[in-house]
Amino acid sequence: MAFMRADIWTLEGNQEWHPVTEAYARAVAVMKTRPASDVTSWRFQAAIHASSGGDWRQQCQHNCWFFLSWHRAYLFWFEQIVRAAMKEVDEIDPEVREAWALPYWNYSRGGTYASLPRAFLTEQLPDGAENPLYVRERRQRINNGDALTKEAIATTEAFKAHTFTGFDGGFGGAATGKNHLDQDPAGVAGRLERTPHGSVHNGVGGPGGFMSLFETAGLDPVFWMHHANIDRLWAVWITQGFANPTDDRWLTTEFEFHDEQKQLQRSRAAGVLDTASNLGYTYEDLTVPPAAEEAAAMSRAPRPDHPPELVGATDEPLDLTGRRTSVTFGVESSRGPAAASERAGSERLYLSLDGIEGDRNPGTTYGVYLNLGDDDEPEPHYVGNVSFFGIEKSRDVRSDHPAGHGLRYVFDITDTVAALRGRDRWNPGRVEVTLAPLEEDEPVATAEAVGAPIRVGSVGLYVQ
Amino acid sequence: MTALRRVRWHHPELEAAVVAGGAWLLLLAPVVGGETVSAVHDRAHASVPLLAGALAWLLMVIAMMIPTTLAAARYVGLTALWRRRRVTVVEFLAAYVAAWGAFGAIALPVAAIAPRALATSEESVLAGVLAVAAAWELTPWKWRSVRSCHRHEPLPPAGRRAHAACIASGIRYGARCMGACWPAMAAMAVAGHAQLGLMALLTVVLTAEKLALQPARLARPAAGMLVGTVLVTLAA
Repeated sequence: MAFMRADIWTLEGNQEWHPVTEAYARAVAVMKTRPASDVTSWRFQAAIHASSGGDWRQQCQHNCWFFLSWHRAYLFWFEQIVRAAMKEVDEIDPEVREAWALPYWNYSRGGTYASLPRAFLTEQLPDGAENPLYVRERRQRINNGDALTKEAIATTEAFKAHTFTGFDGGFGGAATGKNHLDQDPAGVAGRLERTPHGSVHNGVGGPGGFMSLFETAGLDPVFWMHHANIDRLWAVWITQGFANPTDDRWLTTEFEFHDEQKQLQRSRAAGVLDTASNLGYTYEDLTVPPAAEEAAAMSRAPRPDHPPELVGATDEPLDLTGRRTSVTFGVESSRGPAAASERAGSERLYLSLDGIEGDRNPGTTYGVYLNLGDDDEPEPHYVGNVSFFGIEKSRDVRSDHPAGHGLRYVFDITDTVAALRGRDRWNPGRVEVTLAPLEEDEPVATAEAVGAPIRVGSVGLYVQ
Repeated sequence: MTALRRVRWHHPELEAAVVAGGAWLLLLAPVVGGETVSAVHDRAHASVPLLAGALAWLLMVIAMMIPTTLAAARYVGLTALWRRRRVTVVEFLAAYVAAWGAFGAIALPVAAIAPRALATSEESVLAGVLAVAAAWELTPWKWRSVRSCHRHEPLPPAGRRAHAACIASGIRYGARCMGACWPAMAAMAVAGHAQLGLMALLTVVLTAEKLALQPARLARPAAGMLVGTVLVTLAA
């Protein structure tokens, strides 16, 4: 029998403190009582994502094509551990325990669904005990029951990607070796990893919250439901006829986890591709988010085989301090193989934000816009989000996992530029790029997050 | 031709690899090039020892260290304007080699006087420096420097600022690389460019360390290999 992962709002919408939700809470409570050295403890499971130690933990894969497969395996082994922990709780109905699967948070439905159910917002369980699903270290607005912003939960850009990988990261991330954050200079986040993944991390965590930082994200029970939804969106993308990589480097690279018996297990992408037959679970709903239907159905010309070439960039780094910031730079015509594409009008254009560094994720997601005037409606100028999730590791050279160079985000802006050309708002010799916070910051939760500045080394335009 | 052009599109560092290969051929020439080449080589060292020593050091740097920089050179090439790709790679690597040249300006004289100053043989000095290199492999500082070599800096796209920033970036990259590789290159300053076997071994070790995504896993094998070279040197 395959386990079925259900939408948390299907459960909680029908019945507050649904038995599946309560079982999750009680299992988390059990895991929290275990010492951090216990591989099945709450803290160890979070440390697999990231820790400050130099041991084998902190293995999470980001800004690369292992992002989706690594997190699928991570969630699978976590789910086994949670289900086993339920055996220690007499209050859990054996039928619930036997059928329990990790719920997902389908914020992509918007509205109320983009807020957290009350079970995650109240400090006590129904019997008055402390509620382990409640975490104080979240954005206050989210703990008040407000919804995430529509920009943070958007799936349209992700479903515009019809290839798994590519110069802009494609759907699933750039082809690299193992890449905790930025070991591999080719590392670029895929579109799904940028949004909604990164923006929901910031949207829930905010400045200084658990979800905003690599090392603490897994301490918020919402993290696991968020990633179940990201995993589900990958499965949805596949149902649209798009393909996973067939490259052996992707399929066979192994990662280590522990099972509920504390035994070391190895997982690789080839072993997690089909959730039902490989891992024994399915999702309640695999339909494309309505806002992304058109994007998934768009036709796409194959990309040329010559590399994208830089045609313009900023001279100076750009500092982000929580306010709207713009930068302008000159652009020249292609002098390389992309010139033929330009002449034919078939070129693809990319905006690159390179060498991004900072000591701490400010918890603020920025929208990126092209040629946005003060009085313009932002939407036609919008190219995507940057969330800086994990940036606190970008200068960390203490262990092999992070490796000390800045983040890189690349956006395919071909469609945006075509639309701006149609409105006579595109100057091929000059580009203005604006980064603006998606939402006003609240009072920060920790002193460390105050004024955490981000430096973007370079903003550039590439043509292919 | 078309295939080669496509490779060059994607690998602007290709010419640097060819230059490193050329340096290896020049260093091999006195050994495998017959009596005439060997005689020219020996005459150059006898008549203009300082110049010949400096050139030999730079050839060693190009042969040994350029292979370790290919990923960084590729990055600076791919992120430069197309018309500036070649000059960007050349400036970056020239500045990098110059940084190692400065290291040689200190290391070579020290290596030359060390045996007399320490009243010991050249082989003993070499074994000592290789032992330091083996120990350095086991320190956290070594690996922090190696990881710092993964750091790339975006450069201004054009104009004098682009030239200046590119050269400064090459020097900084060289300084970080020195933090990782100084004992190995100090050993080569002692051993000299005739020790082609040691050169080849150190090139493989340093390149693997710089290019590996999880380099610290190589610490013990590299240290073990260097201890092996210490024993071989002492036994010779």
